[in-house]
Amino acid sequence: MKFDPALAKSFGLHSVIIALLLISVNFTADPIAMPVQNVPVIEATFIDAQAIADKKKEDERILAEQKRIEDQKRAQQRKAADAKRRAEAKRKAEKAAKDKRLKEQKRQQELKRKAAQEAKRKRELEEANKRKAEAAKKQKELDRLQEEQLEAERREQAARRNQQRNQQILNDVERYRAEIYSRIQRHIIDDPAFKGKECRLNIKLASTGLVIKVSTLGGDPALCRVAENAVVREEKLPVSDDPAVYEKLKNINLTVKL
Amino acid sequence: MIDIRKVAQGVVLMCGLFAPLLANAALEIVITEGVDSARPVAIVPFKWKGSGALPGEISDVINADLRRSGKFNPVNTANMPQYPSTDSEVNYSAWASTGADTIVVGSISDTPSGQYEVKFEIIDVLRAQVTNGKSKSLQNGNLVLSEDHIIDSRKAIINAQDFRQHGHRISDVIYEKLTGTRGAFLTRIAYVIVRDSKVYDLPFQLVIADYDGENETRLLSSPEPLMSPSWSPDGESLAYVSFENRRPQIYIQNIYTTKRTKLTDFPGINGSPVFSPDGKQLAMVLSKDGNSEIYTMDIASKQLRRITRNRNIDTEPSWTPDGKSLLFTSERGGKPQIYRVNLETGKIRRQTFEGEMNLGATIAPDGQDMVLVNRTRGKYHIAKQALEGGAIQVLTRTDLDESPSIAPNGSMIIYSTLYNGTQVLSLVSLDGRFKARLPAANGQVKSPSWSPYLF
Amino acid sequence: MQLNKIMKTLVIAIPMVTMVACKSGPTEAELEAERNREAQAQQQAAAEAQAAEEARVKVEAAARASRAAEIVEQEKQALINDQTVYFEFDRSSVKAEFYPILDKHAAFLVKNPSQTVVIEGHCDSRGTPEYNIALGERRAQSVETYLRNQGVSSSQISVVSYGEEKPVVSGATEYAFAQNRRGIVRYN
Repeated sequence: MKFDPALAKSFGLHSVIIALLLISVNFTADPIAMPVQNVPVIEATFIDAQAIADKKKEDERILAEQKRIEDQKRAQQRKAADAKRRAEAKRKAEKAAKDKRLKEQKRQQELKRKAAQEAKRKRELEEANKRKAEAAKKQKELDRLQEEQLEAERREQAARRNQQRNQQILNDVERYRAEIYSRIQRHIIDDPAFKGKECRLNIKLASTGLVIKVSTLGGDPALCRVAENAVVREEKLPVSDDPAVYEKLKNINLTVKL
Repeated sequence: MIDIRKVAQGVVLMCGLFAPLLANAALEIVITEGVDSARPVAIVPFKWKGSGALPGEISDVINADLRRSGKFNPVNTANMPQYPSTDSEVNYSAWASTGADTIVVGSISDTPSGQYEVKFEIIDVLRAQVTNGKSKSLQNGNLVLSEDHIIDSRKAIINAQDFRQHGHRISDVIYEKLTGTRGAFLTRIAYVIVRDSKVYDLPFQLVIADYDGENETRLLSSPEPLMSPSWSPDGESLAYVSFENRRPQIYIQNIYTTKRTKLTDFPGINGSPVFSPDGKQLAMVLSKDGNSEIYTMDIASKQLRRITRNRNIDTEPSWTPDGKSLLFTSERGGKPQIYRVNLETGKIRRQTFEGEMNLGATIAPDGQDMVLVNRTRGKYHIAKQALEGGAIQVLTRTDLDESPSIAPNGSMIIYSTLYNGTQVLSLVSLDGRFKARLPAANGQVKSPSWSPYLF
Repeated sequence: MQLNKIMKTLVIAIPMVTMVACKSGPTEAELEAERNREAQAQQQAAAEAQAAEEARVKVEAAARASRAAEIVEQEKQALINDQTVYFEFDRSSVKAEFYPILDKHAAFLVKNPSQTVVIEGHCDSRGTPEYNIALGERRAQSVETYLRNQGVSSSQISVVSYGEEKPVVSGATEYAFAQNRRGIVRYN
């Protein structure tokens, strides 16, 4: 279940407003409203009439007369009271109306103020929301950019790592090439008779560096014998434990060109 | 629309596919320089299967030859792990661990005709170790035992007196198989010995010997100096200068018939005879026109052609291998230096500029380098310079070195030098790395001249 | 040499024979008889004397010639003892200190046109033998030129170079080198 935060906020806000309004009504209640204590008489009369009518019709008739007189009296009284009450009520009502009007006015003003405030708040909120949204949007954009940048960096780093790795492999291959060179070269004895002659050999190495196969690709037979012997004499040539480096060392074309 | 990520994945995938392909490209290693050393080889004493004493120890001759070449370092007989006489008896790994790549085994047996059968095999012990002596190869569609570890195997029937010569012949085979260049162990040298005139009536002697100084035979003895022996290209004759008539004259003498002819008897110098590569002409130095000049003579017609015209000394002609130019020593620049004259155009170009003097140049058989006598700070040494110019490389450290002569395969130089106050012959390899002195003779030994290939 | 000895013998023998011949003379007793004979004898003696004189002259001439030959020989001997000039390293010019020696040879050769010489040029062992032949010839030619400048006929002189082939002192010392760099005036 998901709450719409906006809706929740709005609901909350309205509740608060209503609560405020109610509280404001209570607190602004005028002391004039106190005469309301007389009102229950009318109510009791009404309840009594009901009950008497049901049980004792006769009594009621006597009583009714009495009562009628009394009622008249009472009605007069009531009339006066009513008038008084009405006047009072009128006055009260007027006052209440006035109060109400004032109150309403006040309330309206308050409402207006509140509305203005609310509008302001809303506006502000909206603006805030808008700003927030914009900020969020901006942030999102920023995040996106950052993400992109990160991704680029990651890629770059990967490329760099890859390059570094390749470079490292190359460096290792070079190092081993130099080692293999000197290991073979030390068995090749310079002889002016070989001046200008050439021999090409292919050497296959096991992952341990063991010379598996030496084959002549071509050249001067005597020099090839020297070259071949130089390789065979080594039995094992230095190779790397790194498979990627070994991969580049396992197959060697050796040219001896004195 | 193309999904970039997929493409990227594809690229990665493709890279992944390509990577092993790239790894399969062979690693290229190029060696352009070897180490300065001699190759270890082993010449196992040939097994004598006959009775009685052998006329000679062939393996000793071979050992000495190979060692003297400067290219090989034969394993000492005492340090050999075994003494096999055929390939089947060879323990390859035992030999490989001696450091020798190649061994030579052989045997000698007597024949009913009183001759000797000499057999030998040259074995690549390293390859044999790999193939265990039983490599197979496809020949005509059949898998056959190729025994490619046996570099060569030969046999010959020889006479008792040919033991040394046959040893040199085997050395030639080994040398050629292992260096790819023809060996020069079956060549000879001519030189002059000057004996004590108080003891000898004929102290000046022209002699010929094997290249190693063995089998010395005298061609001529004289009371007066003998100089500048020079071989004909066919190896049958020597040209030389004799003062036997109290003046220098040029003779040509056949070394087999010993018959000789006087070629020149001009007033003044008759010197430095050198056969042209085709053997038809003789370059020489004559001073009949008042000054030491270079001439060529057609041997058959004795017709002379004057090559140099200069007030200063011109001497020591030497042919280029193509026979189209001569190198010579000239003082025309002040001090003796080497010049080259084109025989067709007569154009002369100075060749040497380094050192106080450069004299007596000869050209190596490959026509690339010249070997000469260089004087620097008063010291005379054998040196080498490219014919096309470049720095002079001094090859010797001996004293008063002169008369360099190059072996026909261009590997070694023989020259005359002073050792303990006596003139002796010495050898130096053309790269200057190997040096050896020939055994001293009874007297001063000078003017060595290396023969061409003789057999 | 043989002829020389004969000449020397004659120089001594002939005057003695002459002196023995002069001792015979005439006696007092047989003057008259002797006169003819004397005249005859005188004639004979005169003839003999003349013959003797002629013989003496002849002998004396021979003796003079022989003396002259002897002197020439003595002079030559003296020259042969001083027939070598020395050179600087790689040089072929005659040094002034050797002019007096060569002057004596020149004077002698001019005086004795029938005398011929071979000038030998030699070198020390430095440098190549063939170059040294040329250098030795240069040295011999320098000596030849000097002698000819002193009036010696070129027909009296020939040159030969032995280069470094005939050292007088063996070895590679400065002393040996200096001794071997030489020109020799050798009489035939």
